[in-house]
Amino acid sequence: MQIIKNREVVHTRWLPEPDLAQPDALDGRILPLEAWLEQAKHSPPSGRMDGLPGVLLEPDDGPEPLERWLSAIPVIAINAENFADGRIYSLAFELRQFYHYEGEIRALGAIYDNLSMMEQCGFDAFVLKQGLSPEEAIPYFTEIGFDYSLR
Amino acid sequence: MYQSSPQEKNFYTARANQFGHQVVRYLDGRLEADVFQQFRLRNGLYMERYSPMIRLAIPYGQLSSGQLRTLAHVADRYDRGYGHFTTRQNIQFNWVTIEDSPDLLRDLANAGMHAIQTSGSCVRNITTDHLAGVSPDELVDPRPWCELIRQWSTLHPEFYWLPRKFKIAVSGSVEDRAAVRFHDIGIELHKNACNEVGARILAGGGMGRTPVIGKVVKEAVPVQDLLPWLQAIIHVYNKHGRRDNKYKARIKILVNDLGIDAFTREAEAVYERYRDIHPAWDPKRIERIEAGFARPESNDEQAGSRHIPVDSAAFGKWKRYNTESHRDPDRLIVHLSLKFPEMAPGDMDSSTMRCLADLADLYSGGEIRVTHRQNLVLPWVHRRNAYALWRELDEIKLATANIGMLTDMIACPGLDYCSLANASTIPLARELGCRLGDLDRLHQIGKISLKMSGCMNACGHHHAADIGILGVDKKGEEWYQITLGGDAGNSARIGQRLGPAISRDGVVDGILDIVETYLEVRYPGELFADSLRRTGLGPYQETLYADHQKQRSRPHKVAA
Repeated sequence: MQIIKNREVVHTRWLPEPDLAQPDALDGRILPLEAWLEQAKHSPPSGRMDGLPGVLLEPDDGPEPLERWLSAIPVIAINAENFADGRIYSLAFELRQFYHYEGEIRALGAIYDNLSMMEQCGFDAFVLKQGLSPEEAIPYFTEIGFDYSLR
Repeated sequence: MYQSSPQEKNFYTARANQFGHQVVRYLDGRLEADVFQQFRLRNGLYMERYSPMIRLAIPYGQLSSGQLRTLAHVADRYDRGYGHFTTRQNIQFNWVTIEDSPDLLRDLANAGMHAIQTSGSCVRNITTDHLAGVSPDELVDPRPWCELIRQWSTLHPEFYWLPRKFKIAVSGSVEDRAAVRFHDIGIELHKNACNEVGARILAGGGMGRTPVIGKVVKEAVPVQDLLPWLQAIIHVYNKHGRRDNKYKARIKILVNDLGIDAFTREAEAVYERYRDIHPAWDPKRIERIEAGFARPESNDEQAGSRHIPVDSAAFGKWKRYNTESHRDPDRLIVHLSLKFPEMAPGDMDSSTMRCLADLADLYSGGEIRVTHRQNLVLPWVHRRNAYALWRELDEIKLATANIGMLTDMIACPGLDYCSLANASTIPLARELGCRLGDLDRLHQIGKISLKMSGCMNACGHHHAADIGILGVDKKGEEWYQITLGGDAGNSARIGQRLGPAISRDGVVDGILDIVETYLEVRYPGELFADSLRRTGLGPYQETLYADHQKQRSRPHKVAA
């Protein structure tokens, strides 16, 4: 699967659950929060980035339930289908700035025009909305290229 | 005057180009209408009843003469030769096209102006006291702080998609002329005993269909903590404000639901986290901005004739009602009324804009202010030039001596332009203007604020007026709800409903009856608000409803 990561088009092995070939393997899976927490109960934090599955957060989820595992979660995907729901930006911001999460924060369903602001909030990976092309998306990151540096 | 830097102008141009690209993609079907809507709103473009409308930002209501000439150019090139100053110190052009608007924005960018975040669910133009920097009762000049907040909130990546629009006002004087208690966030600046600037922060005020007076979040925040506090308050709102119902989405609803103490605790916890990660406070940053607001160089010693004819009663009245004391005893603050029956309140045509720009250069250091009462101010007029200026203003019909009087009314665009309106406001304002009588009569009545909104959204601030008029729709007919005793200032109050709505045919007489009642019950020199507090609504209800209830509360029927 092609995604944008750090402004480049790359292949990812981390996939949402429905696309998975091997439904039992945790490695390479992204689970919804509830399912993820269920799995995590059985696998104590390993401290290694590849020890746990990825987790999918909805706009009304918070980072709090993940706090004790954050250093070991490789991918946090955020459902960004509704780009006008400002909570997804605060969620990424909190993960990076308040919880110092260093793994991948992936937007699912991003559109071209919001890529730069999402990146500024802490997203570093993007699965575009259906019909949009990752190659075409790259120039949108630098469309404005100005910031007052007050944040 | 604050000047945009070359980098800022490039930024505004990049933004206009970005919007141009979005317009192209929208027109050829590559950008869906609902997605495009979000981006056009954040560039000021609305769809009105008959045409797209664009709202341009006039940050904190301050204009240079050059910028006013740019607005005249926009009026001629992209509109029908006039613009409409709004209650939020901005300007709207009512007859633009989607296709032309990127060019319009590029022209603006060249003049250091923009339309960024003038609508949509984001932080809007920061408003302030229209007398900032010149009023005698000022404690702290709010403009540099408005500019700092403007820069911070412009394209804020975390706060570009709030539950609803978000309005911030800043005041730095004893008298609150910025209506800070009716804003999502209101900031009152003051100085402590050590001459350090601090901010009192209020949140959760607003007009709209649920008028609420803002509540104090923090009494005294040192300036280095101002942005982290704003960040914290808006972060809490962004996360917890309602997104399921746009009528319950403003921060005032969240603050009321949580209670101000719980809201403040939540914000305080977030503030603690922001404080640690926010860029270190650099006092030079605000000093650089302050330098841009230095007093303008004026070369107006010999600007015009100082000879005042003996028979100058009209000048005397104008001076009494339309000018006020300046912090510099040699100067005057001059108010220009944009309220006369021929034009909608707040409208101005391009040739008047150009004449006024020239007068501002000659008499006011090239500076003009937009007030939230939809008037303009020349803030730097030398006293010895007052007569010469008055003569020139009189020629372009900007010397109507009705500032603060009943005909100096605020009105939203209403049914004539707005697709949300339930009722017309401009024809009503015109009719009221004609019926209220001549200037002598108005001066005898004295200062009364009259504000009208064409719908519940309350763009005309009717909740905060001595006399408020709200247009409502009753089975396809225009009716008007009257409220009395609202106040936008330090002792902010929400107007009280007088009684059932009045039909279009009865409303002008109704207002005239209210004025008559006030004249009957007031003590000599007693202001409307004071008189009303003493008498209560009773005498007004009696006048309005006791005798005329049958005629007024029944839908108007055409006589057979």
